[in-house]
Amino acid sequence: MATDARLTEALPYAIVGAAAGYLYYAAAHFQYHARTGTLGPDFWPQAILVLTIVVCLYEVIKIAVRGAHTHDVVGVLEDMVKESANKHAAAEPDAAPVESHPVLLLLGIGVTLLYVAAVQKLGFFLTTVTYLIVFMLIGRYRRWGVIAAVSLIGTLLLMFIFMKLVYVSLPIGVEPFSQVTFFLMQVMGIR
Amino acid sequence: MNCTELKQRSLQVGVALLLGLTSLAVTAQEKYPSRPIEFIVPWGPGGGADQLARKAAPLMEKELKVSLPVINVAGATGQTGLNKMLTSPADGYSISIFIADTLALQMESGTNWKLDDIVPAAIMIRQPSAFFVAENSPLKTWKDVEAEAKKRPLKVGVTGFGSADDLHVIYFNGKGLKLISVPFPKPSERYIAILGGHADLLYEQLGDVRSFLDGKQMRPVVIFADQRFPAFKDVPTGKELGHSIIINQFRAVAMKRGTDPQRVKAISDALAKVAASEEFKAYLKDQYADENSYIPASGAVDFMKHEFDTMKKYAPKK
Amino acid sequence: MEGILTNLAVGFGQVFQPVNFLMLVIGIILGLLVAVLPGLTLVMGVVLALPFTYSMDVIPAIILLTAMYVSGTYAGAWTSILFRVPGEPMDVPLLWDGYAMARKGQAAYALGWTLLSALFGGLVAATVMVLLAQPIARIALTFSTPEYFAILFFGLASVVSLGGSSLANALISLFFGLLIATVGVDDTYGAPRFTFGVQILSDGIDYLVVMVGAYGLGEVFMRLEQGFKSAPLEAVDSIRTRLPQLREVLARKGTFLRSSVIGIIIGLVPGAGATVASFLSYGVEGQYGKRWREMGNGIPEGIIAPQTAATASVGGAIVPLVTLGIPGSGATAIILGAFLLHGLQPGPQVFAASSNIVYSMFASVFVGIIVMCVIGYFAMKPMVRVLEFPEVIVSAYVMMLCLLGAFAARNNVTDVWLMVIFGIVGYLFERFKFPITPLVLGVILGPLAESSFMTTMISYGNDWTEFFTRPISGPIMAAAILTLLFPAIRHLRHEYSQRRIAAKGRGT
Repeated sequence: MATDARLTEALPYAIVGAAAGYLYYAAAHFQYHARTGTLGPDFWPQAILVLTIVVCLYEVIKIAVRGAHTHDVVGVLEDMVKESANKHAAAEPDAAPVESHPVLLLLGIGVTLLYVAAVQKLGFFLTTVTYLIVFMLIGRYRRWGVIAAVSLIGTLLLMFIFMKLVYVSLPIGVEPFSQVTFFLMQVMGIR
Repeated sequence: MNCTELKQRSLQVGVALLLGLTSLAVTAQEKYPSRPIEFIVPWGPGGGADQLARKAAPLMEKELKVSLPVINVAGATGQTGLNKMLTSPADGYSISIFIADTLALQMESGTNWKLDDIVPAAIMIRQPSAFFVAENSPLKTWKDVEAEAKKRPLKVGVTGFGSADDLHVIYFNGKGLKLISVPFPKPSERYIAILGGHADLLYEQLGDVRSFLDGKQMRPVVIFADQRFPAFKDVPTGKELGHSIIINQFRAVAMKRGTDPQRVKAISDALAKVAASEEFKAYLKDQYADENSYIPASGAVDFMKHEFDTMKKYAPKK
Repeated sequence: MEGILTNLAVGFGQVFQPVNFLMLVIGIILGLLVAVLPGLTLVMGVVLALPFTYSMDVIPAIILLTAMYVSGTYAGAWTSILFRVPGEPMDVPLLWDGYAMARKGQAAYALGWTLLSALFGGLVAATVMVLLAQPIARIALTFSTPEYFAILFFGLASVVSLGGSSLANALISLFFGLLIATVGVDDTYGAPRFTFGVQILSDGIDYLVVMVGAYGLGEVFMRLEQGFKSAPLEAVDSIRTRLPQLREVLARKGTFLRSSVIGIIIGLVPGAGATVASFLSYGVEGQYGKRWREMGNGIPEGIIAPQTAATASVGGAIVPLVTLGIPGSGATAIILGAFLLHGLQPGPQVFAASSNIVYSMFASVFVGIIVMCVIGYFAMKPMVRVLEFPEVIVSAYVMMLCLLGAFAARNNVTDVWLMVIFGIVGYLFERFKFPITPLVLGVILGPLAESSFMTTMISYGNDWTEFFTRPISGPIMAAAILTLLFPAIRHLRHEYSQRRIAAKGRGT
């Protein structure tokens, strides 16, 4: 039981430390024209990686020796903040049990990744409208009229601002989807 | 705004969209240009490349009758912006500034682009470079510098190792002068270094330190050009002193290889008009640039190849 | 002194130009709204506003963001007092006395104290800011690279030792940020680092992308996981503000002054912002204040202390930004971004060369605080109603603005990929209790720290003792190391004393 807790607590540090070790190896193989007597571009990242490994080792050893849930060394002000917060815990909003919806989270992340994948093909307008609708649905909002209005108006407004007033290179999309973008650009007088 | 109003508006937009899709044939992209041309600056705002684009874009807009929004895509010595252009379709709707520093990267084998990937539409500006000292430095002339550099190592502020700046330092190391390149990647840091006495020499284009020259805070001691520069008649050229190294800082406008030649021509014609305008000539003068900077598309490729060969000549042998 | 006043007058002239003043008012209103909404933190709000400033001139852009920063420290107090909903983390201490007063039927009175505290703390800090900036900038002009490295080292050390919950986690977060900053082609050698042959990585990772992702997207993901549930609001019959009488104010001048000083100092120190100032000031009042026994029972002191310090921290935080070019907090880091977008690297040179920009920023703090209080006094009622707006819509717009911000950073879709990835990283950081601020400041300050380190080593022949032996950098380095060790020493002392108590307990 105790070993389990120790393992779960030490594992993240072990992983970070191992990753730092791998990156150190990668940094040792940077390609550059060395100059004698001058530190190379590998010195700075390697120094940081060594420090990272040291911190991780310290944490792993600490957890191994002293057991899980040992008191952490914390920032100075954080300490004071906690002290005063504890005194007044009663006045805080009732800590409603925090709900957890990992499915919603995964859907949200998935649809965001899809957005980026699709935006160059479909263009900014079509992708963003769809994304906003889907995102609100994932957020368990079901007032269709509001969803449609909010996503259409918001996207059009932002497209107008960021193509007409401030020019940002928003994706136009490929044929035939680009025609939608070109049409909107014409309507907005972007030329 | 109430709900019905919202609905009405969204309906209108929907109808408009449908209409737009049916009128595809009408809006087909036959005429060039018919929509904004993105003018990519592969550097941050405020620098020389940015200034060129912001100067040229409004003048080109008059010729091409579309807008040319300037967008800054900084990173990796200009390669991030270049890659943006190279990954866009070759339809002439993205053009990019291309400068000597980015060209110099071709000396390395690792770049993921080749000079052949781009079509220069014109060389727009060429600026001579120089070594500068602070006005309050004990070193006043190139002679002083030469004498001092034989006694002790002098620190030279450069952008980075392997840059044109660094090639000059290496060249003079070969001539027996003890100069050390000290890289300051940010221009402002480089200027502070020399003004604050943290470095002895600075390598830079004349135009980029104009405010310091006008403010009598820095002075050039040697200018690397074919002839003496009108505004600095007393400053010797490198050539006079027996150093024929000349690496121009040039800034060109480039397009992607494979773009319809008609479209390249449209851009380079517009640039020719820009270069001929009084406004642009005044800009060149203001930048302490070569008055005959402009090289049309026909000569631009040869010019870049020549510049590249010069850089290779002075690069340290591997 | 006279120079400062002339400069400041020019700054006020700028602020009162129609476009600039409009931006100031917009900034104030946006800041107030952002502060009211618990789902939108102040830093996120300023991040999301940044792309809109791209095409503006530099002065209106800076004024807009500064105004948001100023007013973002204020409006969260309203919802704390009225609905027991802290709009920002910094408003939590306002629950303790503010909400207690509201329950006693003194909500209007509590809001009056809040307004006065924000006004007083803000204006005092702004004055100190103006007085401090010029001398510090003048000293900074003589700095060379070793001094710069020392200052950055100190800044990063204090980020770690002050802010984060666990020192080890804060350090790892900071190192991660510093490493992210090294990805791409390095400035000195032109060598590709950690690119693994991937194009996206060889372009380098823009810090704006990290910020938008970690602060914006990460937070939305976190709330999405919790199912976007906000507590229903309690009915409040009237929302109005009653200002306290002069006599009452004078009786509490000690609290006002103490809290202002705390706010300014916390603002000046990199890594600690309005939240720490607010909590710390409440804590100090609870220990050293005249009425420390009654704290928590709904007395004005419990409102004055946190609110004055929170708003005062703004003035303090602007000083290192404009004089050294080193942002100490999330919000100032974005204002730094706005400077950079216009080709200006804040620091002593900009302070000297473009003093009109810096003084316009200063003037906008003064004017902003007053405008904020006026708007707060008259328009509080409609503003707190944005709380009734469904959180899912706000979040959807936040997502869209994050995506747009990533497009706008460098006009590249690759940056959007990176932004989403850092959104996931930000979520994981929050989930596993790693602080985000050290990460972000590491990304921002990393390149500066590295280049000042490398340049020093090159120009002084790899002699690292240079950092410790120079008259200015030496003491700063020493202070930085002490800062790093301080939490550890405190921790050891704490453990030691606890063990002694335990030993004694066993003895008897």
